[in-house]
This record gives sequence, C-alpha cells and structure tokens, in this order.
Amino acid sequence: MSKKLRFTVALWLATVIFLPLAAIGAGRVSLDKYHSYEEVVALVRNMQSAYPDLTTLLSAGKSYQGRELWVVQVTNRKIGVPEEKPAVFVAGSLRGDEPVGTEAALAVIDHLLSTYASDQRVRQLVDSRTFYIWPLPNPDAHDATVKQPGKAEIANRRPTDEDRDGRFDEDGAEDLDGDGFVAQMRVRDEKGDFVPSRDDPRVMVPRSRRTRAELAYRLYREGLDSDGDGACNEDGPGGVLLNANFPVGWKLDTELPGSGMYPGSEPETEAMLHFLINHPNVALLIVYQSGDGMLYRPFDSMEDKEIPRLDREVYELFGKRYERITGYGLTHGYPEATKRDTTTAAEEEALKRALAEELPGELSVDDILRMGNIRELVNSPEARTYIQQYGIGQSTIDKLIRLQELRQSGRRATSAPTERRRKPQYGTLLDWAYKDYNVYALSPSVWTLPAEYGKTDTVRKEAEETRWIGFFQDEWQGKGFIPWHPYRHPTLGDVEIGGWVGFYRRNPPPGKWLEKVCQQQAAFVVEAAELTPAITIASVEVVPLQVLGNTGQASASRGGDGAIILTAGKGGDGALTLAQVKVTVQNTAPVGTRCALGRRTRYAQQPPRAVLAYLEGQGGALEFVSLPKVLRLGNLEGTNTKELALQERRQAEARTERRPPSGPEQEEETSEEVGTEPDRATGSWLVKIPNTVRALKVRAVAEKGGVAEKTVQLRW
Amino acid sequence: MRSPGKSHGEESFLVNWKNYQDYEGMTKILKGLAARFPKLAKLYSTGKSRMGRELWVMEITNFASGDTLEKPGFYIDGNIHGNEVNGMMVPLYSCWYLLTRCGHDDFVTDLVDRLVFYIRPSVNPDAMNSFITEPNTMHHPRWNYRPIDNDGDGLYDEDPEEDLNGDGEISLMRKRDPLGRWKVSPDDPRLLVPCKASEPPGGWTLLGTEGMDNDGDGRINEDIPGGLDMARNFPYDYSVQNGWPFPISEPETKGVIEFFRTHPNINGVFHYHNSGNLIMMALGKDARMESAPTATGERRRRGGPELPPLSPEEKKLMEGFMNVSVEPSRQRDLTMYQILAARGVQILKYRPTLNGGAGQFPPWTYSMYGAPSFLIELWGIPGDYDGDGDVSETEALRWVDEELHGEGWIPWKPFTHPQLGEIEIGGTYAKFVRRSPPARFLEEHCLANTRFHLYVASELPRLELTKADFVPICSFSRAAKSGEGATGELVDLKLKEASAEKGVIGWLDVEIRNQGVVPTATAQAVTIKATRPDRLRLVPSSGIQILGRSDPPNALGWLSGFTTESPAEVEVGYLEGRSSKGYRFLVKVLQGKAGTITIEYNSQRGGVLRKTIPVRFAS
Repeated sequence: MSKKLRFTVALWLATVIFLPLAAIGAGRVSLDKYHSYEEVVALVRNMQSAYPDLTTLLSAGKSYQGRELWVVQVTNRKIGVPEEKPAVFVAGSLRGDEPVGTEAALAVIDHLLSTYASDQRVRQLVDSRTFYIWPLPNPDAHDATVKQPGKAEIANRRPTDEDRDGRFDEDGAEDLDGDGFVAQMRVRDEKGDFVPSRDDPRVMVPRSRRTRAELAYRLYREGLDSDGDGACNEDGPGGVLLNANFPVGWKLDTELPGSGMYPGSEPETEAMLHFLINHPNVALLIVYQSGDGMLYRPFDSMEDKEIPRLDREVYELFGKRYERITGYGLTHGYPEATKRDTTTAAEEEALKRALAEELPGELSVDDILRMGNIRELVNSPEARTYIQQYGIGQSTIDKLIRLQELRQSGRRATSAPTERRRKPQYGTLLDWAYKDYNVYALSPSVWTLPAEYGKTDTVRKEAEETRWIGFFQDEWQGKGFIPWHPYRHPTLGDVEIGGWVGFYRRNPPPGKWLEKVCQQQAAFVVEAAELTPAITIASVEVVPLQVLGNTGQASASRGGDGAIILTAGKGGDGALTLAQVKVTVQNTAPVGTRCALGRRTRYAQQPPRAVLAYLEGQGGALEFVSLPKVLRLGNLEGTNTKELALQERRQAEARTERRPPSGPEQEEETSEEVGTEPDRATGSWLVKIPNTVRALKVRAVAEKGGVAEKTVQLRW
Repeated sequence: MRSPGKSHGEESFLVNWKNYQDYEGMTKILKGLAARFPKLAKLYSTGKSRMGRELWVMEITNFASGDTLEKPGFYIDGNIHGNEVNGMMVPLYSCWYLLTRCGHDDFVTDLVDRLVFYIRPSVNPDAMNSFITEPNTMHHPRWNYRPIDNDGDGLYDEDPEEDLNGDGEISLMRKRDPLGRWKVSPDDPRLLVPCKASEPPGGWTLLGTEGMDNDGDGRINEDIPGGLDMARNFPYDYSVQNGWPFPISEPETKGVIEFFRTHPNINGVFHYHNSGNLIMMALGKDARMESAPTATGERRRRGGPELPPLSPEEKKLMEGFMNVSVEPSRQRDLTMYQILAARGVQILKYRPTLNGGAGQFPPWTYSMYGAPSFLIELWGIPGDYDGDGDVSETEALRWVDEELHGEGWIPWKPFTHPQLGEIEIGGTYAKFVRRSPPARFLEEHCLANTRFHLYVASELPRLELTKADFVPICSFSRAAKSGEGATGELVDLKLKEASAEKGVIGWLDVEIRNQGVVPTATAQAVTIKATRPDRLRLVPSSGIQILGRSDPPNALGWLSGFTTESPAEVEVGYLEGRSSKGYRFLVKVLQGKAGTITIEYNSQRGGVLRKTIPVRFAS
C-alpha cells in the first residue's frame, strides 16, 4: 500500500497545520464521528498538502459569524486550465442539522484524491474535469450541531425577530431536563392536534376527527416561554433557512418563515451565487440533503411540465445510475397536481376574483371567511345590518359559502394522517441552479431508515416511526428518541418531555452506516461526472480555392452596357492562398453542452455562450475574408440526447410548417449547420493564408464542455 | 422677519444649479453641505461601486430633535440608469434646498425637525460620471460596469461606440445609397424618415450609432461597456431574462437594499428616472388601470378621496389613475396615492400611472418592504405647439430652434470612415435635450420636483396627542393594599390590610391622531408584516397606577372591551392617514404626591410621540 504510505508521509510533512490524528485512518477520512468546522478545515488542508497538484483551496467568502466558506477545487492542474474544464459542483447540506452532507462531500474529495493513482476512471475524470466541492455551506449552524447534536441548529446565525416584538432571538428552545437533548413536550389538551398512536403509544400521530377529545395532546419543542409572551420557543437563535433563500420561487418571510429579507440576502447564499456565476464552467450541480434516500431533481417549486422532455430524459440517466448504486430512485419535490386539485384551485380563484369585485372595500374575502361559518353567520343581526347596508346579494353570499367549503375540504385532504404528500419547497438551490443558472441539478437525500428496517410505509406512517425507535436502540444507543417522562413546566404546568430529537433521524450513526452513505455518494459523483459534456474537434479540413499573388489585388467596375469589367493585379507568385477552413466540433459525452431549458431562455444582456471556434496561423497571420473571425457553433447534444433532440427538431419543423413561428422559443442565432447529427457542428472560415504559415491551429471552447484544440500542418 | 421677498438662506452655500455635475462635482457639493451644516446633515457611503466610487447617502434631519430611527424616514434616490442625470440632480438639489432653507423657511424647518431624509443622488455613479464627462448618446451608458459579453464571442466590452469626428457627441452615421430606404423628411431637411413600402428608395442608409467595428466581427458597436440593468435587479417580480444573473447581484443594488434592512423607519420612497413626465406609483403588479370606470370602481369612488381643486387639464391627467382597480385589501393605499398624486399633477403637470413590477426598485419597496413608493419619469421635451398632446419630431426641432437657438441639434457632417468609406455623421440631439432638460432649465426643473416630493414628505405620519382628559369617578380615603380574591356563591370581600391612602380614581381618555395622509403602516406593510405593530403605552410615575383599559365610550357613555390585563400597554396596530384612535384608561392617583403620566405612542414608521402630563391635586 504505497498510496497509504505516501499519504501518511505527506501528512507528517505538513507540520504547519495541526490535525487531530483521530480524523485520519488508512489514508482516508475516518467516519467514526462527525467533524466540526475546525476538523473539516484541518482535513482539507491536509488533503491539499498531500495532493498539491490536484487540490486547491478557494475561499468564497465568510459566513455570518465569520467562518471561512471553503471550496475545494480538485483537478489536475498540470493538464489544462481549471476554469476551462467542465466542472461538477458538489455542496454539503444547506441545513445546519445535516452534517452527513458535509461528510459525503468530504468523501467525494477523499475518493477522487486517494484513488487518482489507482483508478483509471477517476484519473481520467480528475484530468479532464474540475470538481468544486463546498463541504460546509452553513458552517456556523453545522458547527453548533456537531458540538451539541442534541441541540441541532438548522438556520444560519443571522439574528432574526421571528415574533416581531422588537427583540431578537430571545425565546429559543431549552434542554429543560438537562439530559443534553432538546426533544419535545406533550401536554394534554382537548384542542390539541396529536394523539398517541394506538399501535405504539410512544409515537404521537396527528389527530383524526373521530378521536375523543380527552385523548388529545398538544406538542411543543422542549423549552420555556422565555420572553413571557405566551408562546414557547417562537424566537430562537438565528436565522435564515439557506435553502429557502435562493431566487427561484423565493417567497417573503411572511409567507415562508425563514426565507430571509431578499433572495441571496445571507452571506452564505450570496457567496455561493457569486461563486457559481463566476464559474460558468459548472455543468452539473449536486447538493446534499437528508430525509428519504431518493435522488431529487428539479422542480421543488414548480410543476413538472415546466421541464423540457429532453432534460427529463437526462435526469433519468442520472437517476438510473443513482438507483444502481444506492437502491433509491429519482424523484422531484413539487407534488403532481391531481385533476381535482387543479379544478378546485381554478374554481377557488374564480370565486375569489368575483367576490373581490362584489364585496365592499372595507373587508377582504379572507377577513370575512375568518369570521366563522358563513352559513350560520348570515343569520346574526350584525350580519343582517351589514348585508342590508351594503346591498349584498344572495349570490354573493352563496359564493362565500362555496369558497369556504372548498377551502375546508382542501385542508382536510392535506392534513389526513395516512397520506404522505410531497410538499413544494420555495427558494431552493436546486431550482435556481437548473432554472436560472441552467445546469443539471441534483439533490441526493442521502439518509433514511435503512431498508433492513423495513420499507417506507406511506399508508401507516406510525409503523415506520416504531421501526425508527428500534433502529435507534440497535444502532445509536437509544439516542434519537427519548421516552416520555413527566416534568413540571413553569407556564404549561404538568407536561411530559420526550419524543424525537431531530438530528438523529437526519444523520446516520457514525461508523458503518455513515461509511456506507459516503461510499455510495462518492461513487455516484464519479458516475455522474462522467456524463458531463466534453467537446473534441472531430475534423479540420482545408480546401484551397485559389493560389494568389501577394500583390494580387483585383478590382471591378461597371461598363456602359452594364457589363462587369474586372481588372486583375499583377502577381501569381503563390505567396497567398485563398482557402476555406472547415471545422467540425463534436460532443463525445452523453449529455449536451447546455440543458434544454437554458437554451429556451432568452437573456436581454448576456446571451449564453455557445461553442466558439477560433482559427490561428502559426508562422504568419491569417487574413480573414469572411466574418466573424470567431465562429459560434451553437450547442451540441450529447451521445445520449441526440436521438431525442433530432426527433424533437423534426416535430418542431413539422409544426412550423403548419403555423408561423412565434417569439420567445426560437433557438439563438448561430452559424451551425442543422444536420442529422445534433452532437456535431460544422463551421468554416474563408481566409488568405500566407505561405509562411506552417500550421493552422483550431481551438474550440464550450462554456460547459471544455476546450479542444487541433493543429493541422501545412506543406507548401 | 421672514418674507417671500427676501433670501431664504441660499447665500450660505451657493451652487450654480444651471449646470450638470459629474461625480466629482456631486461629491464636492455633498461634502461641502455636510461640513457647512454638521447639525443637520451626515454624509456616508453604503459601499463602493464596481469602479470604486463611493455610494453616497446624505442623511438630513435635526439631530438635536431626537433619535433618527424614531422619526419617519423619507428616502430619495435617482440615476439608477447612468444616462438619467437629471435623476441625480433633483435629489442633489433637494439636499441643498433642505439644508440651506432650514431655519429660514417654516415648512422646511418643520420637515427637518420631524422627519429624517435619506438622499442618495446617484445609485449608479460610474455610468453617471461617464455620461457627463465623455461623448455619449442620450441613451448610454445606462447600466453599471459589470463586464458583459453582449455578443457572446468570449470577449468583454470590446466594441464600444466612438466619437469619430471628435465633436464631443455620439450621433448617427448615414451613407448615400441609391437603394437606401431612408429619405430626407419633407417637413424638415435635417430629419431622415423611413420610406414607406410603396415609395421608391430614398437615397440614404442608416448605419447606426457613431463607431467602428473594433473586434472585426462585421458588426458595429455590438458589445459596448457594461453592464446590467440595475432597475431589473430587485427581487419583486424578478426575471432572470432581464435581471441576469440574480437579484441584488451588484454592489450598487446591494448597498440600496441593505440600507432598507438597517432603516426600518422609511415610510416614503422617491426614485427618479427620465423621461416621459410620469408619476408612477407602485401598488402591486395585480393593480390595473381600467380604460373606463368599472361599476365597483365607481361605487368606491363615490366614497373616494377628496382631491384638491383641479383645472380641466389636471383633471384629464388624473383621470386614468382614478380608474385603477386593486384588490380591496389595498384600496386604502390607492386612496392615499390618489390624494398625493393630485398635488403632483398640480405642481408638475405629469401624468400619474401605475408602476408594475419586473425587478424594479419602487415595486420592491412597496410590495416587499411596504412603503409608499414613487417612480418619477422626469422631463419630456416641451413644444406641443399644435396642442395634440404629443410632441412630433418637427415640433421638437422647432422648440430647439426657438428656445435653445438651435443649440442641441447635431447637423449632418461628412466624414471618411476607415471601414465604411464616405459617410455623414450627425442627425441627432445632443445629450441634454430630449431626455433631460438643457442646463438653463435645470434649476426650475429641480425646484418643481423638490416641491412635489417635499409635499409628499409633509404628508408622512404626523402624530398628535389630540386628547388626554381626566374624567373622575370617585375619590377614596381607605384602600385595600392587598385583598384576597374569593370565588363561590357568597363572596366576602375583606380588606386584608387597609391603608390610609387618599386619592382619586377616574378615567383618562387618550386619543392619538395621525395628521398625515400617509398611514403609519400601509395596507401592504400590514399584509406582509413589514412593521412592528404600533403600541400605545402609559408610563405613570410612582403614586399613579393604571388599573384597567377599555375602548373609548360611545356617545351614550357605553364602554366596551374593558380589561385589566397589562392595562398600560396596548397594541394599536397602525393609524390610517388623517385618522385617530382613542383609549380609556382607569387610573388611580394617590393624594399627596405630585406625579406625571407619560403617554408614549411608538410606531416604527410613524415616529414616536412622547408627552408627559403632570398630575397634581389642588392645594
């Protein structure tokens, strides 16, 4: 194991940096614990000193509390320029309570570096691609979590006045019973929304309408009403939920608590946005999360029909590889709209609009609906006076009643305990990366209850909850679920403390479970990176049209009879040749140089860079007869997408024959010849080549497909 | 003695306002004002532009009259588009106007005492400075200086416009061409007009703005320096197509938005652009201007705002904005805008209209921050000689001839272009004619606009204590120091320990009024919870106790909503424009001790009102 030896030696050579030895074992990052910020930084610094040619540490900025936002660049710097290679961006979780994402990101770096010498596939990738790995997107909350997993923090550390009382972060959760965990509190309350499950009374389940009131409980997070406003834990430390702070689908804080003052308002998210925009070579983005094991693709905030078919196929390609490695498939966050949903939504919308017109201005529709059951309300004397005073008709009242019914039935459907529905998420990195940044974006949800503990049960959710408790007992010394025990609470009275501790469901136990997650994710990044675009120059053809003299200036004029009269200059010594230089650029990777959604988007200021080709003479300057000198060759499909693209193109052509084209969805203007091979593009220059030129160099640059060069020798 | 015929302090800091300033000139005026009026003005920077210029903000208030964050804030900026330089001159003039007149003009003095002004003359100082100091068309440079590859060839900003003939202006290029589709206008030989499809060729081809093909791609001026449109870079109704790469991506816009985070007291926003003579008001992108009044609009209008008397011309300008429809919950914001805009119509003769969304700044300050927000499209060339409501090209030229003696029109002149051969350059207006007023009209232009935004500032919430009356109930001479509560069928009220205190119990009726048209929180601010709810608090000195609180009595003396739970503090929510709210407090005053009751009304955007009322017994 010379590799191991080399790593260890390099480690000891790096004397300037302190490294907790426990973190390193057998040349790999040890996974018997979660690493704190300092430990992660020490680890990556050591990786850099062990593999200086492959690793560069970049800082993208500082977190709210001033921790450095490190990006580890992994690529072979001796081959090519890192910024010109197609890049894969990998980020740990944006939630502070998911340090498993950080470990997965570290495992990717570790895998790329430690197998570079031994694994042909990895070497090829690290030579030809650039990896930007961002292990700690939310370092402040991550650090707090790792140091006290029982009190995990999710949001960043910006002080926020959640309860709008003018004070910041004054009522957070507390570990009341001093067991080191902030768990839950349950209090008997006839109006509570939860009941103990019949199968397992430890597990609290949402209360159905049939449950008797005396069984009901109210659930709280463990803690006090520290500011004496009657609510417990409503203004905790921090913060902004970073994965709700990106621009696509972003909503105001009032609609989506924790979304921040504006998209990108946080130092952590702003730094990531700037980093990505400044690295347009990124072709694939992977951001870790935790929860159900699946691989998430966009959209979190929009309906699936917004994704072009071609991109869906590409996502399937990633999904198949993920499934082969992990056993979990591809999914997306935004719920499928059922037919009922859409018709109800449309009816609700229509009613709301009609009512806004019909009702007097003083009260909004929502105000009236909040007053109570309209059917009963209309008979009250106050309502009668109001109805008479404003001349509100019976049809308006009927509309109000119908709207209220629709809303109530909608609420019942979504809160039914047996139905696990996907939920839309707004302002996520995943959606921004795909929709506005136009790269393929994936979010592996790396951890869930292992399959050994039974399958996910969408019908009887509580059965799965019981199995979680079993898993915690077997694998995590019983942490994660605290048995309910009585506690005398200063404001709530007699309560029971116990239940779930968030951290343990979102992160695998260190050791074999964490190792498994890390191995799988590292393997997936390698497989996914292999799909990213890579261009080559398939051919350069030089077609001499005419040998010219170096004084061979011709002129033309018109004769009196309209004839064209040409005057030839002297010359013919062969010092210049008029030639057509034809280049064909090809994408040899499975995925195209730009996602289909990106190609549809029209940018007012900065058009997305197509594949550009440059021509240069060696030994003398070329004189360009045709313009432009820089050829724009458009975007190239990949080997796996070209068939589908061709089909779509034929369909589109058939459609345009039937009706005239309309504005926004046109392809950008390029000199590309639309052929039968969408993964290739050909362009040509007309140039005068002096006979001093010994070679022609063609260079092709794709923003997300790398650089290709070819030199053609000329013999005169 | 103040007199309309005397100086109002102008000589304390003389500025020639018939002159456009560049960045240096602007900075010199701002620094000079801050140095001359240290008790009224502070100048600070909210960061640096892309080219390293300071992003100045001038804060103006009477610093001696209270904590600035406890006063309603009024924010003015302009010139987010670098070429819109009158958008910078109006806020700059406004700084000077407020500071020099304060102490000489009661209206201004009152504003400077009660309010705090945050004035940012230029959001885009880089492009502004280039526009003023270098040859340019009236349209460029508009954006900031983020390098952008407009033509997608891998090079940045490599094909700018050039002043080829060195006349200090960028104008148009034309070439004689037997097949050209442009002809000399029959109305004025200086103008070129396009030929109609049925007409023969007109003899001229237009070749675009003055410049060269610098990058050899066969196109002229297709990758000019900069940048992105910062007026599409704000988060409300943002789209990546126009606001690439993401909201608040620029140091200039970042400086603006973070300013609003640290100044939650701002309750009015003015944002200056040119041109078009418009008063645009942000009301959410769902607000619509109806062509004719709708039935509901008509109904609402009957109970609508009372406007100042308007001339027929002013009524016509106002008409469209009276037919705006908006979601009922925001109706009161529309009413507020209608009242404020009517004064704008009187002063400026601009047309009030809606400001939609699309990543612009005022729609963000209204919809996502909750402040009344105005976008002014300054100036439009005068010269509607035929009174058809439109200034035609020939009318504009006539105006230039008559008012500017021809200065401002660039005649066609022959030029030998290295790439295009024999051409002519000219045929446009100089920079300061069509989009911004010529310097000789600048001062009156700035004054009129300052008058309008200061009027709006004067209508910001003005809190007054309109009532603090004591209505005695009874006097007492023995009171329970501590009683024991009991429940049951028969309650035996025993005074556990009696004291020999003497005093009076009575009602204190308090009423707070907002005299301004602008509410302490707009309907939008309430919806998005942009503000902390207003609170009314009574702080009694020792010897005075607040025992309970209720709503004010109705005409028959009927009380409702009596409570003894935290009686001295009440969450009022907000005060609408020109409205009051009252409360009745049950107060116990002990004899023998002179005391005070401090009434404090605390509003994040309406200011803080504190009044201390002495209470004593007749001797």
